[in-house]
Amino acid sequence: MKEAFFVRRKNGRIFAGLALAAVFLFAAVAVQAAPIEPPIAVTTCGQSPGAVMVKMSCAQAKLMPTDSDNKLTADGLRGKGYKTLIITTGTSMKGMGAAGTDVNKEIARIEELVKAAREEGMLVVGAHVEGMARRTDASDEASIKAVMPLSDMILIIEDSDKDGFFTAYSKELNKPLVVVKDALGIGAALAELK
Amino acid sequence: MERRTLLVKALSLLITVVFMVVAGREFRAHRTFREPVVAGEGVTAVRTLGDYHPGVKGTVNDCNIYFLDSGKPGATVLVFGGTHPEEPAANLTAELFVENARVEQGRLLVVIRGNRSASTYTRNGEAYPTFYRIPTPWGEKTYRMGDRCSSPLDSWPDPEVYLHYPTKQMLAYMDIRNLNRTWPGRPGGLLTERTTFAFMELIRSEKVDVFIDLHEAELEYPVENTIVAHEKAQGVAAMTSMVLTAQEFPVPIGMEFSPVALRGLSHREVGDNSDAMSMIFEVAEPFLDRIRGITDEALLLEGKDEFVKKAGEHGLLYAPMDDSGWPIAVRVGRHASTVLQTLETFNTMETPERQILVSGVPRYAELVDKGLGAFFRDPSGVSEDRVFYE
Repeated sequence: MKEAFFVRRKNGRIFAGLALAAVFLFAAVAVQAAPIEPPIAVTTCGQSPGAVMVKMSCAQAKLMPTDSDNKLTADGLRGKGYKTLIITTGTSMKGMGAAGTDVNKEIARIEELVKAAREEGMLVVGAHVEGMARRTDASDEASIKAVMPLSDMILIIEDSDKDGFFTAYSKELNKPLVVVKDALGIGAALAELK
Repeated sequence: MERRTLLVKALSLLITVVFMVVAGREFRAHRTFREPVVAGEGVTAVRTLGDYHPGVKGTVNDCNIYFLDSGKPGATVLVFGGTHPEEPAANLTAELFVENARVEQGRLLVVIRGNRSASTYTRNGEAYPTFYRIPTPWGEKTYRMGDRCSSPLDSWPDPEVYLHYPTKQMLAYMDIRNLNRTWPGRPGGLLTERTTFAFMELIRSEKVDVFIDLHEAELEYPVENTIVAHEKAQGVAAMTSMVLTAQEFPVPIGMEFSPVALRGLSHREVGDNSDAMSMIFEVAEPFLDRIRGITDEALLLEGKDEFVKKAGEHGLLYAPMDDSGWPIAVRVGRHASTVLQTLETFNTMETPERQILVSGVPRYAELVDKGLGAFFRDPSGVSEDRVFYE
């Protein structure tokens, strides 16, 4: 299987979507967001597939290298030369069950990870990229409220903010909020912030 | 014995016999009903599951395997319907592919009724309709409504506790008849275990690259409108869900990881026990919700229910539910587009000689616009050798 597979895609619909998402991005950044620099490490607080989606979208936008590791630890982050850490929030019971973890252990891992990222001088992005489907229970809320205050900026998709929660929460935390139309546009949106 | 007592007993016996005859006739009509399927121009061969394992040869689960072979080297994909016959969007989507798909590269294998036994009876005490009908331009097409598990007539007795083979994980007793708890199967086990073993033999011997198992789920269940993906399928599933959500579906489709610790499910075991990447697709079916109202054919096909809608208003559902409901064309349309998009995404990740090219199958918008029946063919309008029965 090849990494740079997107070049061959004949169907132009994805690229049209990306362009649209990028345009939308500029209208949606409420506060000046920090520049995104690769290499990027992506992980999840809650073992949902959000990190895989961010990685795939970044690869599509050629925002490389971007590595995703749902079990990334502080030791695994140190000394690897990453410039940006993206942590997706919202939890998956299937995912946490598969990984033998729970939301409290996930939060503890993420807190250590962010400490290590600070030591390495990295930009930390808290993200919510799977919409309202990942805002249904107490575990989802716990992961969001653990990650966002530790982040330098907040990245979400439109569907995650249907009730305006993230708009209000980012103001409360005084963090820049980047809103992308959908998960497919994340890579292009981040590339624009380089 | 008093004459009056004898009379009461005789009348009771007579009434019982009448009920038995009426119910027995209905039961037999359901169990023996044959669903005609027109093999589309893309179908190049039809084999049966018994060709892959003698343990199912000649049984109720010796189902058809439809081969759509381009003759040009490429990927082999298996689209699998009918795991749970109470989820009709699955077998209807599979049938849509058999009757319409054309394959320009690679091979498409389709199973319409993966667990035929489970389609020969409905759930006890749930008042399911026995049949459902899809209107088409040439008349109604009739299908057997079914249950989640194989019929006890074909697999009996259930154990006190079902020990999954080979992991020995303890599961609920009736899950030994649940096709999505018996993967990767047991060659000498009960019927459902033998069935999944035969499918694994098919997957391994035909060198299947992508395995797609189609399902439906109640809106009260969190794994809803989603793709559950084995590790090998995570990249394909993630891109597919993002593209469909961004460009095609009004209601997003998500993605979940296949749990390693929960055994017997196809998205876990097919990936673990073969070279195939395995996925399950789920779509919303209000008929399955516990809180539903009248359980009839209209609910099954239109997906509209006041009680389920009310549950949604109270935030108790994991999928939106309004007056438009979840009609069968929407559910089949989502499955059809998800299969097609999965193949497109798979192709973008593979070298040209490892791809699969499929055309002729309508996507979501076209199915919603024209209705599902517009794409089913009249079995009386084709030669007999192109008609197969499920």
